[in-house]
Amino acid sequence: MRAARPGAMLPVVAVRLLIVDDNEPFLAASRAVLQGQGLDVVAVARTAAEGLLRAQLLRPDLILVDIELGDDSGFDLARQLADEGETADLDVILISTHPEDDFADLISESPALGFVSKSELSRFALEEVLRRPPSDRCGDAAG
Amino acid sequence: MDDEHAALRRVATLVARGSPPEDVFAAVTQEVGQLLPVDFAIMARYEFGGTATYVASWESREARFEVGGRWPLEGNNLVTRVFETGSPARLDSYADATGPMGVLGRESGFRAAVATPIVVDGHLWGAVVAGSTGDGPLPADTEESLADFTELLATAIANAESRAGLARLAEEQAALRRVATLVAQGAPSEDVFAAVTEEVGQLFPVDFVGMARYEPDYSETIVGSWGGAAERFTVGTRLSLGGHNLATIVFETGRPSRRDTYADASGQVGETAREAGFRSSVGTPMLVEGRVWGVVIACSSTDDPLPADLEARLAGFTELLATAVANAESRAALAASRARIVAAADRARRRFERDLHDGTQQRLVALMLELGAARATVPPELSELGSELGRVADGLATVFDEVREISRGIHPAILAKGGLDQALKALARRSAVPVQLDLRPAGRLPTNIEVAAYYVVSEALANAAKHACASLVYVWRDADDATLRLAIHDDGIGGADPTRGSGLVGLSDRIETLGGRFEVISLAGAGTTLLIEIPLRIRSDVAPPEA
Repeated sequence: MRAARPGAMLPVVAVRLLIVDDNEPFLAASRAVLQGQGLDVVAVARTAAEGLLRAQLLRPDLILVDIELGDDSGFDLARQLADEGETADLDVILISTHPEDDFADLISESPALGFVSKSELSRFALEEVLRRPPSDRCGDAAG
Repeated sequence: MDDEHAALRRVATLVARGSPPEDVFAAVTQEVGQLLPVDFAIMARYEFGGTATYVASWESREARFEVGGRWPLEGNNLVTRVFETGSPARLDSYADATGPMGVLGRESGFRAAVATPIVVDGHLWGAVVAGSTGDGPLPADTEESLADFTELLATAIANAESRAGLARLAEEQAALRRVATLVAQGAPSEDVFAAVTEEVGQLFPVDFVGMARYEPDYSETIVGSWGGAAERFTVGTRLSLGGHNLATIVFETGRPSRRDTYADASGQVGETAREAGFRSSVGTPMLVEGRVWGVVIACSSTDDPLPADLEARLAGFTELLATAVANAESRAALAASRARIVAAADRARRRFERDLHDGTQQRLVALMLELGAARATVPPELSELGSELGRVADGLATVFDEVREISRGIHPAILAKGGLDQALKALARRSAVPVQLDLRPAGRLPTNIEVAAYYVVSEALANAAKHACASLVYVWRDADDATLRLAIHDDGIGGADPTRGSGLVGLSDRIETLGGRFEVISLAGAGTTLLIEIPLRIRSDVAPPEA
């Protein structure tokens, strides 16, 4: 994982969020819920290419990337974002319906800051990942 | 008369000693030539297909006669006449002689001659012709004198043939038995093909033995090759059928066939054979379940004709070959059908997992998120409603977890995303019994092999926790270019019976479907060890029958 800014926290001002996921019901629900919790979902993307483009254009504060993006891999997108100069400093959190355990090694090898299960997605859970020291960010977001 | 007795006695001694037939032939033509008032004596053997071959000759200084070659039985000449009548014959003037043998006699300076048949075991074997280069007919008793010699000749030939026949029969039976043993052992078809071409090559007076499989596109593939011209017909070579050649004739007629010249051979097979220097050949079809599967062809590069009964003797081998091919085809068809069934089941499981993940699970997550948002808006005075919604949310979370478990059991998503090693690590993390993983470096493997290996480890870990009361499981995985190897050992109670417990049987079926080996070692008190080997390369065997 990439070393995050020490003590990084989502600021009180509206955090600008990009969600990359290929599932419509989830996009609609997560957007509504996170907006309701005071986050500003500035865009959603349904493919890795679209996600990369939105990230470059909008420079969101945080990007949520689904591990399984249809034919694309969320791990690959996280790697691409970290490798592109323009997006290398953006925070990325991986999400999935699968439990973190299943992908633990791939998550810890990824430059993403951590993982949040989709069923536990909330502003609080995202802040938990950002709050933890870098070495501990792939732990269960709810625990 | 005394001279004749002495000559007959000398020949009889040779025959009684069991001298080779060629020696007896040479002695007879010489004795006949010297005893009778003749300038030449020739011995001819009748061959398959209405021809005759000169096998020995004697001539005085006046005659010029070349032994050798094969001649058609036609025209007015003694060899043909004896063949047609089975009786002695006489030609008083070669001026009337016709047919290739008659013309040859006239050109060799023959003027008059007599001939008597050689009858071996009631069957017309050949003829002896003796004659002069001078004018005038031969004495009236010449046929009679000649007949005394041909009787001795017949005895010599019968003896030699029965000795040779017995020895040959024994060799042939031994060769057939060796091939039959290979077939019965279920040896790979290519081994059986190689054995047959070699046995046939060593058994018969041939220079090359080839075996080919007929392909649906009017071509043949060489599947066995032995002898001098093998480099022109290497195994795997594909040749088009068509034109005038043995392989095409056998394919089209489904019957044995023979060629005595390659001068008029055409088509890719015929031209390659002519370039290889073949002079004569015999081909026998291999009939597998009523269709002409292939052909065995034995070729000679010399002028000597191939044995007349070669077709019949090759048939013994082609019947064994047909059995080997039919066996291999049914084995291959069975294995392919097992593999298809397993692959179809795996595809179906992957599809269920995808459908659950993309549909049901995403909708459940969306509902959970929306319910969570709704709960957050419940005003504090409606605490009853708040806790009601909380119970619904808990129930939903339980359903979500259950669906997730079911989905993982159907097909683990990590296998597709991360490969076997990541999936094994995930299994190890979830295992109720601690797992020590020893994964040697290896790249991604074919999906069906990764799936099989995953299920083996998954089942082994479940057994270790449920039945073996193990406290540690050791999982070792190694792979090179050719083989994936897995060893799984637990320190539990052992005594697992692979023939009961359907789990182990199912795993063993799955591994065998991939052509692999599955071994269970489970002594009471010594833990359980599973050893698995899966080949990563598919063995080339007989092509499955055309669908």
